[in-house]
Amino acid sequence: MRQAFETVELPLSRRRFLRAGLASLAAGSVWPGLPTRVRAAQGGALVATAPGDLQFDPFFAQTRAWIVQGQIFSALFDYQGKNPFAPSGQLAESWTETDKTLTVKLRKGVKFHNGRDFTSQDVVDNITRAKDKSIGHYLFDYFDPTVEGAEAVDRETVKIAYKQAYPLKLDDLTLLYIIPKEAMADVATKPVGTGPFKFVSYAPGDKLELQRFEQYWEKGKPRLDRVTVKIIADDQARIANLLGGSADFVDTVAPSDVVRLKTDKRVQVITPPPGGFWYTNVINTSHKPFENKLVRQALNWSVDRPKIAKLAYFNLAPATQSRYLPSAPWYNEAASTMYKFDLARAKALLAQAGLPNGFESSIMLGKLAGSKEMAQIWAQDLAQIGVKLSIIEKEESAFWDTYGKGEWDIVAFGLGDGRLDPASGINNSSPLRINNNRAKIESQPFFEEYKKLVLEGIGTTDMKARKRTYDRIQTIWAEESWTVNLAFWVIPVVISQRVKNYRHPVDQVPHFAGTELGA
Amino acid sequence: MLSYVGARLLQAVPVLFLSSVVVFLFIRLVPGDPAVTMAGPNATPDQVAALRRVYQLDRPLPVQYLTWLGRLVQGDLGVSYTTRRPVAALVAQRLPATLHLAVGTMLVMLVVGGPLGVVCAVRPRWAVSRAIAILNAVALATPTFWLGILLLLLFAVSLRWVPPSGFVSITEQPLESMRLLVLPCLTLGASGTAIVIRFMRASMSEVMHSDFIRTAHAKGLRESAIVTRHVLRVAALPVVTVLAVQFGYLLGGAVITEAVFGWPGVGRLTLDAIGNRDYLIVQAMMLFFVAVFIAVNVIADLCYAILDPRIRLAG
Repeated sequence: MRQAFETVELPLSRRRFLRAGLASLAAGSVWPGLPTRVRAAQGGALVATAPGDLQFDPFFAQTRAWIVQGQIFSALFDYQGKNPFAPSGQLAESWTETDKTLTVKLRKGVKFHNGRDFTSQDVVDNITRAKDKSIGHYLFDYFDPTVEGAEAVDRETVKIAYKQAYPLKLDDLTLLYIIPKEAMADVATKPVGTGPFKFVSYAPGDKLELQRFEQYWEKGKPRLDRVTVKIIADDQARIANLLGGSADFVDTVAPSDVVRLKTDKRVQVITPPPGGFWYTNVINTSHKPFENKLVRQALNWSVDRPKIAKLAYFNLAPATQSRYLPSAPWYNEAASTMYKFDLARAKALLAQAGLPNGFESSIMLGKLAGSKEMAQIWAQDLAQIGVKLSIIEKEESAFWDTYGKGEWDIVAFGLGDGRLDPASGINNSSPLRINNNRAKIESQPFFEEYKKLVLEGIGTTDMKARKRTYDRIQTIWAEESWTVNLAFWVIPVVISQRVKNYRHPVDQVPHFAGTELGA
Repeated sequence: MLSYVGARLLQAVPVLFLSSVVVFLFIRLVPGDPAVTMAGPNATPDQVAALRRVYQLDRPLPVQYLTWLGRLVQGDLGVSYTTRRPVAALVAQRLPATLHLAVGTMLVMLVVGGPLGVVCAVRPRWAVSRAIAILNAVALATPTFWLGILLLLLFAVSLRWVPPSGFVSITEQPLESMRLLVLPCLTLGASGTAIVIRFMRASMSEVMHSDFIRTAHAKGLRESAIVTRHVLRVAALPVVTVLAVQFGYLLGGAVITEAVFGWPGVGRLTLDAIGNRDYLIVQAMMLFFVAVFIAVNVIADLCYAILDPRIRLAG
């Protein structure tokens, strides 16, 4: 085990004690910068944190699995390449693609943590598991409607056949973390993969211990000996652990804390490129008066996006009414600039919809940081045009339950899956997809055209045709206005200064294979 | 005494049974669904239905209850929905941490609260006693999460005297275990100590004005002998009740303190289970809490009999 720590304790004077005490009393807004211990480390162990218990079966897409997925498992593709938004080969060495097939040549010399060689049959086994509805995992909806089947052409080649032309072949395979068949039954408690670190132990509520996998396929990696994930529920306590030198990696940091930590020299704030996620308010089109698109449009005119981006989301990413950045190839400028903050226009639209005196409605919030501030700002503006918006806060489980049942008028969301392809964004967003749409758009007059376009966009690999299709889809999003986009949502991680060579990917799955600990 | 304990344990059976029914129904009345939570925000109804089948949540409630009860009497608490681990193993894994915290906090309450309560009762006009009274009020009014974060920032982040979080068993690394216990026990013990001081002071003041103490003074006994031999023994009875209740609460888990100090105790287990609607964990933990309170009350009654021979326990 390579590990070398050098610890230097500085004497504690009364003055230092008092200074630290006073500074700590003021904590919450200002962190005392009093390093009394200088620690240098080489190799060794990285300590990450997680807010709650971890899940190890990567087929269940909860955020609780993000921190472990990239360490224990590998997929055929990931988002660790030069272009952060494009899948690059991980276990896939090379690949050829036709409209309806994908043939992948697998990397040689890859082993599972149990010592067995990784082969093409393992990909077949995992695709079979992904198409198994009885497990209740989320990958079923990705793989069953699209993949016809997979076959092992030879030991290192797998051919995947698709039911129709499908543009998201590689993107979907970034989600398929490979589990050896013999470990599938126990993967939730004893995870085995081909990742850079192997599972050692997990004490629920306490910590996860991972150890360097000596037979990892990428030469010279991983650089760390161990990774520990400490479970610390309290947001401020996680940050205190980071500042106190007991942790190196904290994610799910609230925007207000990110702003504060950006100026703290003890830590680094790593921000993935914006564009993959965005804040939005979703309108339930089956609830009165939102079945009328004039009312929905009025709501879009009533949002002061720059103010919300600044006061609620601390300007970590730009305000937007589009799902795309202007630099993105899918960006539709006309649709993306359709609205401005104009309360007079909003009031006129309400009058046109027969609601000159406004109406009463509510917005449901979960635990998404900044939502409450956003809702308060919006409610103040809406009050000026007679719309009384009440704010309903729900704890997470009740939030999703209520959302699923459709018992809400407007709901505040962070949408996206980190990927840019519109087909992926639509498939993975319950208010945008065409099946089981949670905004209940099926009864809207535009739905048949929208459905046809969504199926067209996902049923071809012709990029020019897809651009035309998604231009029209973006116009429908803007005109029909059942989502009120607010700002891009970036989810930074905060790491200690000793962590080197860490890049946070757009899909939010941390990979510590190339990460090092500096002095 | 044995017949008394036996009778109390028999009385506990219907209490536990009724508790099991109430807990089973209540957690299901709370909005939320474990299958929805597990399936994630974008889950389709098919996915949710599949998970319901996997965890037998699609069965009628009486069937679910009887299945759970049947397994419970055989010692099988089921498997957690979220972690897929046996509930009994999860509880057993968390209990040592909770016991460490409970015992450590009780020690703080007794060692600090007991003597200070005596001082306040015996010398109420001393400046020290007045200062203790003020600190008492502050300790009672201080929110646990605020105190916890403050102690964490001061002693772990700024001064780095103790680690900010984590748990190690005292049997494995005694010194490290105690270092890790200091902040959580101080955080939890602050308000508990204040309560002990108040009860000790009030109880002792009352006893010190009773006839038998006046007689002891008249006999010329030294004050220290009166206090230690006569007053403390009688005055301790209400304090024992307070400590028993506090210990019961501590065994039930100190959710906020556990969250702040990353303490893997049963409080966090229960809170997370409620958040995830992990019904089997919630049910097991609620029954455990009821059993703990019954046990702690029985022990408190036994302590009464030991402290005051006039009290006789009848079955």
